[in-house]
Amino acid sequence: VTRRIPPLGTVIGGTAAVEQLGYELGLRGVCSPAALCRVGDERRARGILKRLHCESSKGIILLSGREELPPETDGLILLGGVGLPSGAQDLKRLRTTVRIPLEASDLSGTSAPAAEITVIDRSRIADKSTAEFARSTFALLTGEESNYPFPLRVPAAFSFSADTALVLGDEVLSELAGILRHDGVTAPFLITDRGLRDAGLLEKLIEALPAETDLQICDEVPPDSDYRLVMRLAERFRGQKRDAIIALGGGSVLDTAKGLMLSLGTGSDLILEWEGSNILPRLEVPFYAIPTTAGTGSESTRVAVISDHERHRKRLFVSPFLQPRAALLDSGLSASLPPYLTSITGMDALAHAMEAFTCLGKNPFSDLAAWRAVELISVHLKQAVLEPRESRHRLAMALASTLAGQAFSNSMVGMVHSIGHALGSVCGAPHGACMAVLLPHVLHFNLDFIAENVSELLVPLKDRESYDTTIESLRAPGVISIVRGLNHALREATGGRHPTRLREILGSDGDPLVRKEAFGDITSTALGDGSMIYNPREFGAGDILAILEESY
Amino acid sequence: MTVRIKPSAMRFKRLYIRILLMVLGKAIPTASRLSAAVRTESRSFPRGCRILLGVWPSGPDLRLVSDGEGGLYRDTGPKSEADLAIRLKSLEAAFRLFTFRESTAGSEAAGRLAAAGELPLLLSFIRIIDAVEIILLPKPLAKLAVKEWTRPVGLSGLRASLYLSLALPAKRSPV
Repeated sequence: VTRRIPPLGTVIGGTAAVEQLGYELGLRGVCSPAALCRVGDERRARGILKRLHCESSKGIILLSGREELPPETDGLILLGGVGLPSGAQDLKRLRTTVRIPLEASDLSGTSAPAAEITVIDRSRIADKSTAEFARSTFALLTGEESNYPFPLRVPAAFSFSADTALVLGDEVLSELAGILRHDGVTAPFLITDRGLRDAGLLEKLIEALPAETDLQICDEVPPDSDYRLVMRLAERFRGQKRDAIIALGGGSVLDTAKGLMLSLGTGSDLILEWEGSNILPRLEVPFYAIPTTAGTGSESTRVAVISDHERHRKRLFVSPFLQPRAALLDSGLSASLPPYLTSITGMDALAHAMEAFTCLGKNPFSDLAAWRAVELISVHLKQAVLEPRESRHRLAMALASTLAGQAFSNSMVGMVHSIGHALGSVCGAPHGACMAVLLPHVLHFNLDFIAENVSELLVPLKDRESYDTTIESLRAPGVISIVRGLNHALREATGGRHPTRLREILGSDGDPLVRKEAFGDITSTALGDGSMIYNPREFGAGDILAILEESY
Repeated sequence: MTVRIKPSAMRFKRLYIRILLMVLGKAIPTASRLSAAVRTESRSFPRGCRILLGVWPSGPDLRLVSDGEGGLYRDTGPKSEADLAIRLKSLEAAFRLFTFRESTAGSEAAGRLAAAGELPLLLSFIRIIDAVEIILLPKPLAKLAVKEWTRPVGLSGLRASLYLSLALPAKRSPV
């Protein structure tokens, strides 16, 4: 069965959400926005629009009734329950549409995301309605009701962006031809790695392309790709006059493709100049992601992590425009994945989901996605390792990974990733292996600050009855024990390859990749990692060293 | 009906933020000389590195420059592109941050900030702001402004020095 999850767009919520919209319009290049409201809503609409500062000082045209939109309109704000006007399709310069509900009833009964951006401002919409909207949106997009049994918490402010159209199934690679034809893509640039070519997956993908496709392939992406490769690929893309990017592979391939999209979209020769968050303009190059592992979630994140080998650092780029246009999650592509890779990438997805559920940027949308990911991983990860030919486990893990990606790329991740990125940069340790080892230790370190959230995870990791019958103070430690237990079970299932301690992460020569002598370098690198800002508890060099010692 | 709506000027909030940034603009350079915690972080900024903390699109801002040895100074030179630029996406977001209803980390996590520049420097600068707020503000207020409040060594002396610096003219950058 093929499953389709349409893009949600961006939701900006909480206190002073309307004020933030001006910046978002600026990023999308909107100079002449117009707003529409129903007759009778003008006073409330004015109140909202007076709070909105745009890059242009001309102000915003507000129309009610049946007036025609000014021809120069390049951004449309729909206030209240007003629908998209018939003339909007003729606006050639229209760069974005925004929906601002004026009351809770404007949120209900929506059958699809009606605009690229939805602004749920706390001055107009109560938190309870925001939470209900999150639940109904999750059900609408994923086709299933959330099992999250607790009241959703709505923070003072949040933003959530999910712009990738997802197609999941056993043979969904065949959908690619239709997607490319629909988007008018004829000369794509395909990025992958040698391993996937040797495994025959590249051939499978080529067979799925339209016969007339003028394809160029780069299969040189190494496991830890860096920005210099991205710059070389950008030159090739321009020289060969390509019109889209297709990425087939794991995290390194997908992040390289995002770096390429960034370079092409900004016209920049040095992508490192764009390091940071929320500063990228809209990137117009179409990008299609086909992940072959279930872990990084990169196919649905607004994050690109690109290595800088000269400075031993992972460079972080955060922008909603880094999300692929579409992602195909084909269970057949991960069938040949060795059990060890299935186990560590699965634990990467679990770390994403659990950190998303407990870090500073958590919000109702990310919570629901993270919760579902934990549910799926709890049931299917070990089975996917033990029965790699069973497609339902692989498919469930692919969905879990993608949902976890959506969750963490909006709520962000914390200390597990700060130290994990540093271990990758300094020692070359595989990311998933680091996540598996560090997750229980960091959960324990953060516990006083996140006990309630961690406790709730006892439900998807065990069951509701266990949650109800376990005394409050023992629930969160119980969750940590389950994560440790999962690591041990995976170690057994992989014949001792899955690590439970840092010293058990081995290189191809069988020697440990992480050595105690490197702890100093790992610590200083971790202190410069972007993820640390989102960790619920402040931490310093001493805390990192303690966790490294503890988990060694 | 068709009307053109201009945003309200929010003069009070703009003035308040301008004053707060002015206070930080004097307190941070002083703290970079006197506070060990701040100096540990400010040492990571290379010589001539320009830092901007401001409000999008044309709100008030604070500009600093590093001497490369841990000293930070008000950047009074002609406006140029910053090496590290942190911009609050709206005046209201800045007002909430500087009235200590949201922490800097919380603002970033909620998507209220846009940051351009090297992330280690951004993190160092956020840690500097947190350290300065802990010194400047009474504990109950500072606890709202930072993720975790820890008492710095010699807090009273540091606080007195920082308050004194507010009354003195800003030290000029040697860079």
